[in-house]
Amino acid sequence: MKKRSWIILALLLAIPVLLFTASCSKQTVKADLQDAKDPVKQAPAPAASAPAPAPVVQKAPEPVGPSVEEIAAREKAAALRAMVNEDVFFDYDSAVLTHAAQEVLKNKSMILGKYSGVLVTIEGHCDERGTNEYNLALGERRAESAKNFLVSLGVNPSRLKTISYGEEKPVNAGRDEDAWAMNRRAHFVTE
Amino acid sequence: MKGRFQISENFFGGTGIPPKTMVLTFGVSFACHAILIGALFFLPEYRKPSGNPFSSAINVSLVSLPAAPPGPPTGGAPVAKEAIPAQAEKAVEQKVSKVEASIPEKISKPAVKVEKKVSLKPEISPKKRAETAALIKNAVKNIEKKVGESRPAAVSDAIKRMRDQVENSNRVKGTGIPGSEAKGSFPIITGGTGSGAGSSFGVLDIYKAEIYYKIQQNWAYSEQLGGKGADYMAVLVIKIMSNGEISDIRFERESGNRYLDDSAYRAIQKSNPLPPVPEQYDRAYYEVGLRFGTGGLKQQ
Amino acid sequence: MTVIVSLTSPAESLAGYDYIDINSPFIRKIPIAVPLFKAKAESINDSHMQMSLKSSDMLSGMLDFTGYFKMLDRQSFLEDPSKAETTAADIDFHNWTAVGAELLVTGEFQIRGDIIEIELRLFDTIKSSRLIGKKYTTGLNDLRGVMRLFSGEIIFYLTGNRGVFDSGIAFVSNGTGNKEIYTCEFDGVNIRPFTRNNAITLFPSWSSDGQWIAYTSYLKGNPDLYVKNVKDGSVSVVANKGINITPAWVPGKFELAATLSYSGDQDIYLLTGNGKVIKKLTNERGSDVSPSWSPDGKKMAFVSSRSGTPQIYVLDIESGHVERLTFNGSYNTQPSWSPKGDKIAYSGLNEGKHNVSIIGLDGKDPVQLTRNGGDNESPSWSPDGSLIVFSSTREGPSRIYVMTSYGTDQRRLFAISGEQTNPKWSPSGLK
Repeated sequence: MKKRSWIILALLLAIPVLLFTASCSKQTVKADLQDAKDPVKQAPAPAASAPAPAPVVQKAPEPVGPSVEEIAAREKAAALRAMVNEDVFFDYDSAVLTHAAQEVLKNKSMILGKYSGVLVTIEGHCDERGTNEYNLALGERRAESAKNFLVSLGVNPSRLKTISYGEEKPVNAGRDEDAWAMNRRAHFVTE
Repeated sequence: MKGRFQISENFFGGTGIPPKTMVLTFGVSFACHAILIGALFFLPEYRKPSGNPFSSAINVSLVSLPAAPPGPPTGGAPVAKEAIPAQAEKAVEQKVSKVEASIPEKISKPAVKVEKKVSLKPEISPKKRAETAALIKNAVKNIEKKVGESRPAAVSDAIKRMRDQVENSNRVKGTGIPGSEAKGSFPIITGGTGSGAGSSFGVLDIYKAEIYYKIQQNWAYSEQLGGKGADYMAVLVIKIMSNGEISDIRFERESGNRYLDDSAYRAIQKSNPLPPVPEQYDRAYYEVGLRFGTGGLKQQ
Repeated sequence: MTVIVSLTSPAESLAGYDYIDINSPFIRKIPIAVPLFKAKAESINDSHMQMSLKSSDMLSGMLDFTGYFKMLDRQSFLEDPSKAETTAADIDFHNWTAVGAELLVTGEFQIRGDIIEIELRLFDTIKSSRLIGKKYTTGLNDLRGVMRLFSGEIIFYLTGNRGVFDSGIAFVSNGTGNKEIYTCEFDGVNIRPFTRNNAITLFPSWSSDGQWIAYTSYLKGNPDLYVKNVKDGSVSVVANKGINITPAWVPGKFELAATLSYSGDQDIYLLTGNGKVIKKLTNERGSDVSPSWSPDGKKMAFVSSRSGTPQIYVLDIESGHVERLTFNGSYNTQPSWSPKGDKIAYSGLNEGKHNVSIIGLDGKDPVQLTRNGGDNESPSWSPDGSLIVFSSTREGPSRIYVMTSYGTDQRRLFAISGEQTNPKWSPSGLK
């Protein structure tokens, strides 16, 4: 009987502690989201969620690192850079989205979902093999292919423009399989 | 080509196969390929191109012209004769339609390297032989005189072969050749005249070769201008005086392609005069038909 | 060369003579002699000699370009140039047949200030007769115009057709840093820029009266279609959403076909010369590009991906019936319909290389004209159907080449900075 009561006591102590830490972390998460969506309002939030005894301590010193606005801005910039720097690649003479391509597009759709104001132009490109005329058409099919997939993931089509450059703007002027593979792409440009 | 680029990107990392196994597999594959390719490289060396472009023609080994006639005419012994491979004779029999050696008696056999003695009926006097030899030599010389910069070796070879064939056949037969019985024509196909010892070419055939050579060399036809059609054939008939002058050109058949017909006519005009008609042909003029066709033109 | 002396032909003619078969000509072109033209002057000075050489070389060059002639070497001529005769009465034609000439051109000129008067004659050396005699008067700086006219006379005499001398070629070059359209004369002379868009400009196409060139340009940031007047440079634009590419003018009309994708599918439409849509010509899902009209405007060849890979099809305009033309290979594009109407040139991808081939309208037996020399693409016929201009990377950078319709005499036209592609031969009657 004595053991049991010790256990109950331990539990009684443990559970509130757990709850306490859990609620703390939740609040921190909330604070982050609010950072992203509403940079203006973020200042009072951490103060509110922090343990009451030390409000003065928090307010007093200047923030050493970047401000929350800056962090948010940097995060957005990084996300948009990722959007631009990561191309969607295609197989030879094809506008079909491979599994890898779809994964890349899913990432992009999430970024687009997060930053709803962002507009994008999707460029369709081809490798230099094949003839200019047909490649211009193929480039457009690739851009459209990427766009349609994003739309199916919930992105508003009005945010997505497409343009084909055919084989006219390669990123790699090489004449080997690797170079060609790099050129067969849908490339994203943010407005 | 599909998707291979992705594999190459994740070559060792992405496939999940341990690198060692990868290397081993590639090593074995590479070795197999190397063996295969090596074999392909070496094998063709042992395959020699077979045949020659004239396998359908006379198959006689070439010899040089004789230096001088042999000694005493009697007894066939000193009459030299080149070695004609027996199979060549057979080949000649089979492949070439028989030609009557319409060479008059005065053709003799020139002396050549002696390989084996052949008993011949000594019916032809050395004088006659010498005359014929001279005739043949002349024909050849005339042909050689007209050698331009780009003389088709094939034609000269053909002429050489025919020349030799004349010599050889006469030597083989050793018979007097049926005289110039004017049959109204010199048909090309005749049965064997009883000698049965292989066929031979007459002087007229050499002459025809000369005609062919000269006219063909002069025939200019632009396929681009006139087109190429397997059906295009113009047939012109010419009469050649004994001195070689062409006294008449007429169309037996027009090709339907005016430019082709015109080019054929010009080729003949440019070839006037032709070499003199062989003496043995003792008619007023030699009449022969010329069939010009573009079937032989090949796309480059 | 087939040299079978079939002296053993089986047929004995009824008339009693034998036959000799001559199966191929020894000379594949018409041997023609163009000796130095003579100056009619009291005393011949250096400038006369220069003009002698310049004028006869100019004519020789043009005749050589056609691919019909073998230009005989002046070094082999027997005639003494200082005693050259130019009229039939005086010419000793044996001098010319002796060096193998079947045709002879003589010229005699007189220079008065900056005007040149020149008499040009064409002779048949075998028939010893004069075929053509013309006298021209022109400014010294337009000697080329005279030579073009006389060359046209010669070709007209031989073929019934005026030839290519009054035609030109449009092409794309990126020497400025951007692809722009240029034009030149039929033999590559007198290259001039046609566009200065400072943006990617592609796919030039001549109207059949030679007055307009349509093309695609990214001038406004998108691949739009432009129609520009050759003389006054006035421009109209077709800027639908999507791609507006590969224009091809309808023979004899102020209408053109082009690929537009604004409807969501890439189809070929018929437009007025001002860019208004008349009707939709192709309908299948997939890419339909690169139209090329038959000379009578009743049929149109084009490229379609409808069977899975790019192949060439022929549309009958009236019936709407479409028939596939190419079955060899998995990538056949850039069709060009011969002005003679009987053949279509195109580029086919084979073993990783593009090569120009020709196919008859029945689709049988395509013949490959180029091989072993890089990528050979974008063929376009000369207006008389005797020559084909195309691009080739056989030297490395892409250059404009010309060959006869049989694939012979392949030669580069010129080389300017950058790379040259997408040539299109104009109709005749330019300028």
